[in-house]
Amino acid sequence: MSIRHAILGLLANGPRHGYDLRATYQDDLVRAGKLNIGQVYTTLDRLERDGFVEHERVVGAEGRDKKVYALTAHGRAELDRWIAGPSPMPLDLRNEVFLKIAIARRIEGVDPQDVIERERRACFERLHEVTQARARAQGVAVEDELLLDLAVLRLKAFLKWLDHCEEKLS
Amino acid sequence: MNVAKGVAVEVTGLTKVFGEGDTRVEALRGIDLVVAPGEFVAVMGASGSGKSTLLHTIGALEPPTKGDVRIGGRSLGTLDDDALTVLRRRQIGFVFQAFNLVQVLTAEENVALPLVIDGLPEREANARAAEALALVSLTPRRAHLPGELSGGEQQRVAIARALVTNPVLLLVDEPTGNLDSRAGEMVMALLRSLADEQDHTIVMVTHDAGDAAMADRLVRLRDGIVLDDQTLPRGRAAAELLSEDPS
Amino acid sequence: MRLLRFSTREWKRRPGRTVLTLLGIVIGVGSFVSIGLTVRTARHSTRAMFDALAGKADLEVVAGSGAGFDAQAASKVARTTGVRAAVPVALAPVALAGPNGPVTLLALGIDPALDHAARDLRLRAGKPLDATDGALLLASFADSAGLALGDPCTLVTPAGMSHVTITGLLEPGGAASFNGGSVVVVRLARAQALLGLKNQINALQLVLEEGADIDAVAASVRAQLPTGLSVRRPVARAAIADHTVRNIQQPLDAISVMSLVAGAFIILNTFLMSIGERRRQLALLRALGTTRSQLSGLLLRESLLLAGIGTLLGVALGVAAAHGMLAGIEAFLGLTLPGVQYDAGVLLLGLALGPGLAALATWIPARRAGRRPVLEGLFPARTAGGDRVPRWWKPIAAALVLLMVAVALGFVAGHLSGELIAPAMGFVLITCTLSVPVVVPSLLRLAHKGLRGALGMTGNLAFRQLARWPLRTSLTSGVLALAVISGIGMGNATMGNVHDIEDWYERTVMTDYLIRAAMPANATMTSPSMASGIGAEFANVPGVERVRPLRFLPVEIESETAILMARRFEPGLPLELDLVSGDAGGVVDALVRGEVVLSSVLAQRLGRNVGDKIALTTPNGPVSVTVAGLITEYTAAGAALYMDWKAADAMYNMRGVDVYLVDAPQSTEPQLRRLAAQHGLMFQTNADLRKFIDEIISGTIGMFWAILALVLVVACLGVVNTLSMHVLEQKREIGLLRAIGMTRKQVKRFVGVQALALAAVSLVPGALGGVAMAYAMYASAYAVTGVHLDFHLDLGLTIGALALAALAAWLAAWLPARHAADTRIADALAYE
Ligand SMILES: Nc1ncnc2c1ncn2[C@@H]1O[C@H](COP(=O)(O)OP(=O)(O)O)[C@@H](O)[C@H]1O
Ligand SMILES: [Mg+2]
Repeated sequence: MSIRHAILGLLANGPRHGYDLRATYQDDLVRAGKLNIGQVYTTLDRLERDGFVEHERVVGAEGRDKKVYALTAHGRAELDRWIAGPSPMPLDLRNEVFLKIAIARRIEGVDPQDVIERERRACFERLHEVTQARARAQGVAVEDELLLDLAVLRLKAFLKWLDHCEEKLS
Repeated sequence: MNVAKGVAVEVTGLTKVFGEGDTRVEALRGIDLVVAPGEFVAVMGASGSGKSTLLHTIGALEPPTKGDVRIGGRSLGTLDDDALTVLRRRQIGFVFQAFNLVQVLTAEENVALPLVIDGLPEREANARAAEALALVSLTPRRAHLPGELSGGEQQRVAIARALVTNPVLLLVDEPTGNLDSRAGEMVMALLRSLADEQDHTIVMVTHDAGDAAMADRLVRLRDGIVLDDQTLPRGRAAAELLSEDPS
Repeated sequence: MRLLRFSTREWKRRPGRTVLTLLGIVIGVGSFVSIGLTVRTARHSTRAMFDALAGKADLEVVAGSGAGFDAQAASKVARTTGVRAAVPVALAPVALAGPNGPVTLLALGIDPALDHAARDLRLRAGKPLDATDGALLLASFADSAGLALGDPCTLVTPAGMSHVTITGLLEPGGAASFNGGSVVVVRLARAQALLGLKNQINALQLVLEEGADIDAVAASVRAQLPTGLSVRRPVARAAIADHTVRNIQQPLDAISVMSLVAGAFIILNTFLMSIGERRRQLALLRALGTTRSQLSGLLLRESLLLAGIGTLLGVALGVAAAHGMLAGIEAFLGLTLPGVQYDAGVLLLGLALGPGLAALATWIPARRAGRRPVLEGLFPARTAGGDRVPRWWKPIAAALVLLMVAVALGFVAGHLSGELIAPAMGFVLITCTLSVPVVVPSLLRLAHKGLRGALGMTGNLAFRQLARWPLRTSLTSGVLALAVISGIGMGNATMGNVHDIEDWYERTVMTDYLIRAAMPANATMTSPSMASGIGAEFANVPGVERVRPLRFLPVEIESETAILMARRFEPGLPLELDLVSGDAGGVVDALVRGEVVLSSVLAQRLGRNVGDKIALTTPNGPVSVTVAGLITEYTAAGAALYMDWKAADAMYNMRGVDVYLVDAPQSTEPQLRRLAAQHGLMFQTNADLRKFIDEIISGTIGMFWAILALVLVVACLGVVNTLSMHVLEQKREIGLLRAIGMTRKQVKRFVGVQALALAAVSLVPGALGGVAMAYAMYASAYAVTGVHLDFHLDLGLTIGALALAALAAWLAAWLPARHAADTRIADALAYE
C-alpha cells in the first residue's frame, strides 16, 4: 500500500499541513493501521525532494508558523499515473492456516482435519462477528460498508477454501 | 411474548426414513437439538444432508420415524392431525424458498390467511396483516397480487404471513435461495431484526455461510446427523472492527 | 423417438394425471360405442326381422292391406322377364297355446316345391314339409314353449282351434328367426285352411334374375296386375313396425348423439387440461432448443399413444356395456335380438373419436405453448398465473348460439324436418357446452358476490381459485352442464309422453272385458284372429249387455301403411275415442255412415283434415272415404284409423276377429272366463288391460330412465375425472394451505365448495339448454309423428335434475377432496 500516493491524493483538492494529512488518513482512509507524524513528514520530505510537492510557511492561529504542502504539476502527473495504472495483486500465499495444516500432515498423531475443523469454527466466528456488526451498524459510511463487505467476502472465501481442504485431504 | 419456559423446541433422537428396500433413504439419523426462546439458529449442510427434512419434522409437516419433537413443551407425537394443524397454525410460521404465496390473494390477504383460517373475523385479521406488512416495510404493496411483486417482496410477504400469528417458532427454509444478493440481504436483515427486536425464535436452513452468519448459532448437518453445534458470541461493533490492528 | 421417452417418463412421474387422462378417453369412447352399438342393433334387428320373412324375394305382389287373393290372378307375373321365380305364401298371426298362456305366432304357409327359391329353411331335426304335412318350429322356440318333435301344437286361428303335429325343428336364421323365432311354417294348403283363406294367398314373392333392374321389373309387373293387387318391395311390410321402432329410435338416436358429444367433450377436456398443466415443462423444452414443430410433434405422438391405449380399452368396455343394454331392451320388447351388431360405422367412429379428439385437444394448447414467450412459461411465478379462455372462443360461441336460435325457430315454424332432430339436439348440446366458458367467469363472479357473506373463508378462497383458472373451470363445469342438459331435456320429453299416454287410455279403454287369442306382438303390431262365430257364444251368456268385435287390420292408404281398427259404433254409446276436434255424436253417425276417423298422426302424414277424402287400397281396388274426425291414438305407433265394423267388412271382407269387447256386469265374469278357456282364448278384464298398458309404459319409462341414467353416469364419471384433475393440479396450493394451518376438514370444504360452485355455474347454461332440448323434442314429436302434445315443463323433474347434478358434483368431489386432504404436505409443496 502506497502512503506516498495516499498523501499526494489527499493534497489533490488543495494545500494542507502535516497534522491535517495524518488525521484524514487515519480516521477516514485506513483506520486499521497507525501512522505517526514522523512518517508523514519523512514522506513529505521525500516527495518534495522528487519535486511532487512544495511547501510554504504560514502563520497559524496561535502565532506559530506551519508548513503547508501543495501538489506540484509534476506531483499531479504522478498521482494520475498511479490511479490509472493497475495495482499489483499480491497472491499473499504466506498463510498461517495453511502452514498449520501442512505441518499437521507431517506430524505423526496429529490430524489435519482437526486443524481444519477448529479453523473453520474460528473463521465462522469471525464471519459471524463481521456480518452481525455490519447488519447492526447504523449510519455507517459507504466506504466503511465496502470494507466490511470485503471482510465478509474474504472470510466466506476462506471458509470455502477450508471446505476444499477438508474434502481433498480426507 | 414467547413461552416463558426455557425451551422453545426440543428434538430428541429424531430419525426419519423415506422409502423401503432399494429406495430407502435415512434422511435423519438421530438428531438431538434444543432451541431456546429468542434464539436464531442456522442449520447448514450440503444438499441432501437432511436440512429440509429436519425443518419439516419440527414443523409437524412430516411425522418422525423415531424420536420426538416438542414445541413449547408439547410433544408432537401425542397430537392427532387436527391438533397438529392447529399447532402449525398458531405456534409455527413457515417461510419457504419458493415463497409459496396463494396466487389468487393480495399481499394483505395472504398475510391474513392464517388468522382467517383460525376463525378471526376478516376485518380484524386484515388489520393485523397490515401491521405485519408494515413490519416488513411493504405497506404500499398491500393490495398487490403475488404475481405483481418482485421475488424479494414476495418473500417479505411470506415472512409477514409467518409472523402474523405471533408464533412461538419461525421455520425458514433457504429464504434467499430464489433471490438476488440485494434482495437476499434485505430478507436476512429483516430476520435478524426480528430476532433482535421481537425476540422471535427462528430456525433457518441455508447453505450460504453469509446467511448462516446472521444467526446466533450454527448447527451443521452431515448425512442426517449433527456434525457441529456452535453458539456464537455477540461480537464487537463495526467501528471497532474497522480499526482492528491487522497483526 | 428419444423425445418420446421423455413422454413415458412424464407419464410415470405424474401417474395420477396419466390415469385420469386415460380414463377420460375410456369413458368417452366407451359410452359412445356402447350406446351406438345398442341403437344400431335395435334398428338392425327390426329390419332384419322383416327381411328374414321376405327371404331372397326382391318384390312381392300383395292385395291391398295384406288381404288374401287368388294365386291364379297373378300367375302370369311369374313369366315376366327378369323374374326368376314367383313364390306364393300365406301368412297371418295365430295364437299358440303355450305353457305361459297364449303367444302370438306368425303362421307362414309355403309351397315346399317352390319355396327354396325364396328361403332357406334348414332342418335340425325331423322331416321337411315336402315329406309330411306337419309344422316346422324354430328349435329354440319349441324348446322354450315346451314342445318336442311329434307333439301336437294347438293353434287358435280365425277358423277356430286346430292341432298340427310338429314334424321338424329349424336351425336359427332366415325366416325361422322372424320375430325372435315366433313363427310356425306349414304347407300352403294347410295355412290356407288354418287362416280360412280358401285357396288364396297373401303374397306372391318374386325372386329376380341376377342383375335385373328391380324398378323396371316392378313396373312391368304392375302393368299386368288386376285391380286390387300391387307390387312393392318386401321391406314396406315393416313400415308399421318401423314406426314403432322409430318412436323408440328417436330418443335412442338423441341419446347416441348425446353420448357422442359427451364422450367427445370429456376427451377434449381431459387433454386440454393435462397439456395445459405442463406449461412450464414445455417452456423448458422450448428453452432447450426444441422447435415449435418438434414440440407439437412430441405432444401429438404422446397424446395419440395414450389415446390409442384408452380407445382400445374404451371400445372393449363399450362392447361389453352394449351387451348389457341389449339384454335390457330384449326384456322390454319381448324379442330375441340377433346379438350385438358390430356396426362398422360406430366402431370406426369410436376408434377415430379418441385419437382424433386427443389430437385436436393437443394441437390447440401445443400451438399456444409454442407461441408463448419461453420465459413466461418458465417463470409462472413472475406472471399472474392461471389460465385464460382463448379470445377466439367468444365469437365462435356467439355464432353458435345465433345459429342455434335460428335452428330452433326453423323447427317451430316447421321449416326443418323432424328427421334432423337428432343432429339438431347434438348441435344444441355442443353449443350450450361451448358457451359455458364464455359465461362462466361472469357467472362465477355473480355467484361469488351473492354468496360471499355465507361462504366463509374457505368458500371465498375456493371461488377465487376457480376464477383464476377460468378455462379449467369452464371445461369441468361444461361436462356437468352436458349432464344437466341431457337430464332435463330427455326427462321432460319422456315424462311428457307418459302423461299423454295415460290421459289417452283413461279416455279410450272403457269396455268391461276383452276376449282375444293372444296379445298383439309388441314389436310387429300383428294380432292373431279368432273365429267370428265365437262372439255369439259370449253374447248368449245371460246378463251380457253387448259384445262387439274388434279387428286390427294392416291397410294401405295411398303411400302410407296403417292399422285399421274395425269396431262397432252405435249412437248413444260412448265413443271411446280421444277426439282432437269435432263432437262425439256427429262422429258416431258419420262412422255408421261408413266414414273413417284418423289418428292425428296419420292425418298429418297424409296431409288431410276433417271432411277431406282419403283413398284406401282394398282387395276390390281403391275406395275413397271421408274423414269424419281426428283422434289421438297410440296404438300402432299412432298410425291408426277407425271404421265401423260393417263398413270395414264390406270393404275388406274380414275373416276372424282379433278382440271381442264385452260389456257385462261382474256377475258374469266366471262364466265368461270359463267360456274363453274352453276355446283356448285369453280373458282380460278392463283392469287387466290397464295393468298391461301400465306395464308397457313403465317398461318404456324404465328403459328411458335406464339409458338416461347411463348418460348421467357417464357425465358423472366425466365430472369426477375432470374434478380429480382440477384438484390434482392444485396440489401445491393445497399443500401450502395445510402447511399454514388448514385442517383436513377445511381442505375438504375448500374442494367441496369448488365442486358446488362448478355445479352452480354449469346449472344455468345446463337448465337453459335442457329446456331448449325438451322443446326441440316436443316440436319434433309433432313434426315427425303429428302427435299433439301440450308442451309443459315438469318443474319437479327440472329442479330434481338440477339438484341431482349438484349432488353428483358434490359426490364427485368427495374422492378428490379426500385425496387432497390426505396428501403428504411436504410432497405437495414440492409439486410443480
Ligand atoms: N419424500 C421423500 N421421499 C424420499 N426421499 C426423500 C424425501 N424427502 C427427502 N428425501 C431424501 O432425504 C434426504 C434429505 O433430503 P432433504 O432434507 O431435502 O435435504 P436438504 O434439504 O438438506 O437438501 C435426501 O437424500 C433426499 O433425497
Ligand atoms: Mg432442502
